[in-house]
Amino acid sequence: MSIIINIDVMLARRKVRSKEMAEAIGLTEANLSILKTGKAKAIRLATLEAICRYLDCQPGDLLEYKKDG
Amino acid sequence: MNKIQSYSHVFKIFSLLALIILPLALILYWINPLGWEGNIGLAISSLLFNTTFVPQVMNPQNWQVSTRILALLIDLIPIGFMMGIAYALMQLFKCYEKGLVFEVINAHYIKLVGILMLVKAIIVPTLYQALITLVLSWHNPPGQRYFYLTISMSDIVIAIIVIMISWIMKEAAQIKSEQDYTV
Repeated sequence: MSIIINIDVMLARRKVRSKEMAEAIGLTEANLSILKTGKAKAIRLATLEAICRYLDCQPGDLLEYKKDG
Repeated sequence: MNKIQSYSHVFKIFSLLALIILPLALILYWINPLGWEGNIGLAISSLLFNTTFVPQVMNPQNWQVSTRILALLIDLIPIGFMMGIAYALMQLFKCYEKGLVFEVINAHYIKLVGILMLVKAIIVPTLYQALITLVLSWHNPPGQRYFYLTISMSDIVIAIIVIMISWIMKEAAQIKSEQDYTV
């Protein structure tokens, strides 16, 4: 997948634990793990909005496009 | 979901029984087709699985031991297919019993059932019927030997429908996988 989710980076910048954020935005830890490990096939706008609001960032801070190869 | 799981448990056991009973009934029948063993074997196969080991026009009086052994081996063709179908169904119902419904592995088992049904629908009325009638009437007087050849379009159509269902189930499994990985 050439879309990379930099959620770990943002969590580290904001000094927030992933469990804390999951609880705050109502995301299960299993789903957050899917996001962090890059297994996610799609992300709902509502989820993206909740993460952005909590981490006070833009979607572009979380998502990055890298060309394959 | 509970309903699917409880029914699947019953069908899984039935498939397992078919896997064990079918070859036993076949052997039992060919030990002595005219004796009680034959009657039990035939009763089990015809009542439970709607199948017989010999065409009805055959006369069991003139079957020698060598003929019976050869017929048993030929009977392994349809029974083998039925056992294969029973095995695939057992695996499928095992998945359903665990609550795994829209999975790629289930689509694989449904496809296996369809393919076995299709090959059986082609081979049994042609190759098997021809062989079994030929072998069992081999010792008949000249002019009374049989050579049967039939074809059942309905079985072929049902098998193709089952294969198509497997494709649909595969698509459903892919949609479910996408849903599972949508956060």
